[in-house]
Amino acid sequence: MIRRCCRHTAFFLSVYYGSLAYADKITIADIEQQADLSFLNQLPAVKTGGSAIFEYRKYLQVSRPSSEQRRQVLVRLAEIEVDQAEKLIASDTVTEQQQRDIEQGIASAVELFETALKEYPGEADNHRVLYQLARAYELNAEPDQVMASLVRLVNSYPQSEFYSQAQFRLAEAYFIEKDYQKALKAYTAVLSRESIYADNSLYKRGWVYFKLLKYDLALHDFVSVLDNLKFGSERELSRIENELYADSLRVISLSFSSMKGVSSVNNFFTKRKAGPYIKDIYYSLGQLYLGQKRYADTADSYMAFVKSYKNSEHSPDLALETIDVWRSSKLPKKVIAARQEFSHLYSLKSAYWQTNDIDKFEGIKTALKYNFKLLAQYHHSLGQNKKSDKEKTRAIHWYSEYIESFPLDKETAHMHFLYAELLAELRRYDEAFSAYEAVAYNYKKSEETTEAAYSAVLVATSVAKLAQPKTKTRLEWQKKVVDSTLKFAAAYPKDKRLKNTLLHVAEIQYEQGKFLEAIDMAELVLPQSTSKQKKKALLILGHGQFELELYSEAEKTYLELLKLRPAKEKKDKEYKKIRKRIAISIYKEAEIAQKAGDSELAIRTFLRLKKVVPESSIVSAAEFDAANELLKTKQWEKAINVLVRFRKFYPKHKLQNDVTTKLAVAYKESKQYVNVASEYTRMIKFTKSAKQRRLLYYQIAELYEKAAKRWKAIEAYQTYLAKYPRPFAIAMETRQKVIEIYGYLNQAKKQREWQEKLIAAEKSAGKSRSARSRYLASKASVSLADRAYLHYSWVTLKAPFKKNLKLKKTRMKKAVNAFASVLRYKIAETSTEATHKIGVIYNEFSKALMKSERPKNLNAEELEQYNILLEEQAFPFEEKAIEFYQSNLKRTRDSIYDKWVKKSVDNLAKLYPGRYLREEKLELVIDAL
Amino acid sequence: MRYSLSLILCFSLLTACVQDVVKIDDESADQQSSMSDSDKRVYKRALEGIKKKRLKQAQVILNKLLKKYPNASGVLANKAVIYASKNRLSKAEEFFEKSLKINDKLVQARNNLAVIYRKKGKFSEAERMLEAAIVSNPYYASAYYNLGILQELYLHKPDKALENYRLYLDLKKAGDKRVSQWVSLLQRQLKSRK
Repeated sequence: MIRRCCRHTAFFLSVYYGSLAYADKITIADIEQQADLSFLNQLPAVKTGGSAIFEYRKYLQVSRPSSEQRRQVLVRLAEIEVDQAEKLIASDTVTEQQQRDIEQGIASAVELFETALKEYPGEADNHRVLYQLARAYELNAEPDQVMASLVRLVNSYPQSEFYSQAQFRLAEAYFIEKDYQKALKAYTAVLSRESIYADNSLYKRGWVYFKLLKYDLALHDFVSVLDNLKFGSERELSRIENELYADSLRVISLSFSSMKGVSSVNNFFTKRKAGPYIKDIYYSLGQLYLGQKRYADTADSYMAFVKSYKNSEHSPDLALETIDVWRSSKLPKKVIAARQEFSHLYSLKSAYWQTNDIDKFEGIKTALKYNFKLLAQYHHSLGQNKKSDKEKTRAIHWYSEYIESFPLDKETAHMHFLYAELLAELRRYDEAFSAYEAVAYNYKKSEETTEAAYSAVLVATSVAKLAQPKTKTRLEWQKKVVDSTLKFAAAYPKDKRLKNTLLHVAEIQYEQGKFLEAIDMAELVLPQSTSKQKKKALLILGHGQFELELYSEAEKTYLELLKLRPAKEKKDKEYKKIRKRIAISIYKEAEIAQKAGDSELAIRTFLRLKKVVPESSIVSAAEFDAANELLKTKQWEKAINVLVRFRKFYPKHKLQNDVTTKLAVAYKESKQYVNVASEYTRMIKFTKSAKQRRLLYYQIAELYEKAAKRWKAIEAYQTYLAKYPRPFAIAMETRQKVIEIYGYLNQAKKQREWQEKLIAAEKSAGKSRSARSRYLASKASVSLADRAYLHYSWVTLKAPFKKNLKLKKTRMKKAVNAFASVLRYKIAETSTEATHKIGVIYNEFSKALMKSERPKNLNAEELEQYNILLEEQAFPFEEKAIEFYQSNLKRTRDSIYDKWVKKSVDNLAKLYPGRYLREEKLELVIDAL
Repeated sequence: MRYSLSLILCFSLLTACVQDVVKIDDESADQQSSMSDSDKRVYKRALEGIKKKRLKQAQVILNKLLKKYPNASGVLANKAVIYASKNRLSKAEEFFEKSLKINDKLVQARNNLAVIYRKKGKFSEAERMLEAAIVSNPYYASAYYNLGILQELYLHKPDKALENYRLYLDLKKAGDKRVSQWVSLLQRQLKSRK
């Protein structure tokens, strides 16, 4: 019985406590303590235990029925019996005697309570007695009696303070008996009032609803239980509360699961405000599904929370849990999708972190880092395997997330490098370039950063090469190549690839016209460079120097280059180009020297060109310019040598005519007149101007004359005259020249011939005649007259006198006429001469008569007569002579007083001294200080 | 010119006491007084040298004096005389002109310069020079003489030549037969023209 009682009690309590975990320390004793038993205190002081029972029983035997005191003793005694039984039950071991005592005690208590109720049915506080009776029945393992007692209590005493407890006990009992309708009613009754049983009842009613498949109602109760627990407040839940919480969640999950799953959760909480436990509701539901290997439902549950409570501190965890769920499912695509969703949702750029502090989510940070990396590598690998740009783009995204989110992480440099590599693969060169540079210069140096630095240069180089020449794009990329290479050089000066990149930069700088920079770069490469690098560097250096007009340096560089780079074949274009540039450099050097006024250097340099680059097409120009410079500096002989050489080597050169002209100058200046004439003869052939040609003909003659090549001169003058009878004035001078040269050559006959030609030309010239032409003609006439005079003077008046006299007279007449013809030209200079000479002719004739040979057969008288006769004959001629002399003297009126006038005056003084011999008085000394 | 010269001559004849005396003007007097006595003696020796045709020696002396007395017009004039003797007419002309620039009253220099002008055919300049000489010194007979020749032979002014020959003869108390003949010849010539 005791065992049964104990078992029953244990069962009762287990149900009670099992369902009322909340009421951890609440026992029947507690309930009792809370019951109002103060009336017992009004009893006379009695002993407790066996002696008290004895005393009370003794009293009952004697007590008057219906008295209030008896009723109190009845109840008191029953309570003592119950207490003692309880104490014994509570002990560790119960002897058989004790078992018997317990059973007797409880039976006694029941009897006593029943007696009290029977004897005193109308007592107001019988609800307490009923409560105690139920208690006693409970100890005695008589559940039906307990239920009956409690039913009597709730029905008869609804206002009892034990009402809620009684209803709760009833509900619990109904629940155990699966009489859920009654249990529902009882729990609801408990909940109708405030009591310590409300929470438990709420919880239990939830279960009841659940059992009755009324999930929505059940959920409301369970959620209310959660609300009542004030989960999430500062207060920590007790173990039992935690258990209640967990248990509630389990039922809630079961409820939602039994409904429409997570959508029901969402729906439910649209109608009802959720507390801080909401995450656990979703999670719990997910867990429920997970237990059932319903991965998708689990994930949906978790993610439903994540989506509904975006800013919740728990969202990242659940999103992360989702990944694990899928991992359990062994569905890798789902895992990746989950990872992506998680990573998207909680990327450091996401809205989530605007309201949440990432630093408080270290775990999430770690997870993000892990997932970014994993996703990047996954897509990277996929992109490469499938050659999918789409996948690569995804990888780029995750690399980017990683880099931006964890810039200081030790793996970021590597991630960044891979990111750059992918960008480059996708031909997103701008971004790739920036990424490579970022890797190269923003992280601690490593092999990878070196590689990145080099890759940045390579990317920029490739893009620049792909761009159309001279476009903005090309220029921009070239600038990047340059800048990036310089950075590369500064950061990784020992890299073996550096020299080649520097060379490339030099090439770009050269292409962009930044020759100074190109030169610097090339010079930087030269020391300790390979042969190939050296050749390239020298080429750029040479070109740069050339463009900067540093021709001397360019020449040296090119020559050094050609030592390393002999011609590969006949048509080695580059070789030829370099040779050509050497030639131009030398030529320019010479020009610079020329401009600087250093003629000697200019000449040497021009002439050097032929020695260094004999095949150059500008050798001829250089030779020509050298000659020019030699001419300028009056180095005639050297200039002649160069020009003659030029003529020989370049017979068909377009400058040949200039060479002729310049040779003419050089020959002229060095007084090689014959050669000048020879060059002039050549010049005639290409001189377009008729006037110039005419002058050349004339000058040729002059030159021969100057060179004392008189016959050649005469020939040239005559050629001129034959070609150019006009202009008349020059033709006259030409004739005069011919006359003079013939005179020099003692070619009197030829001279006279040309004198006559001159006179004739002058005579027929008409309006072209001039003072000069008259002068020349008059001079020629004088000359011809002189010859007539000479012929006249040769005749002496000797036997045969008559014949000789006649001859002399004839010649006199001829001579006088000849001189008289001079006077027609009215040229003062020749007129005075002619006049004077006519006077002389007459005077000489007069004298000749007087000195003539006398006939030998004359006697003295006859001789005297003869002499008188002669004198008479001679005198008129003397008079004539005086007349002509006087005529000359009269010219002094016109201030004409030349030697012929003076001679006439002198002759007058001799012929007519009385009239003309006048000697002026001169002071031999002047007596003055 | 004729009347003015006659008047000058008449006036001069009345007032002049000495003939053939070369008047030394004030400036010359100044130069003379400024020249040291020893230099004056040296100068005199140079003049003697010129007279005796020791021209080279005379020229050396004159050059030395000119260095010391660059404005000695007489020295300059005598240097011109030497040049004229050597028939270096242009140099003679140059030194006479220099001399006259300093002292325009050097009538002998004017006379000699006029002859050089005539030899070079500068007849008008010669005439002006002689007339100036006469104005400067109306008693300087050579000027009339030379002017007469110039006008007769080269300027073809016989009447003026006649006048000047007469004035010359007026100044030549001892007379000049040759010039008297020229006067007669000219008179006849002029008469025959008329």
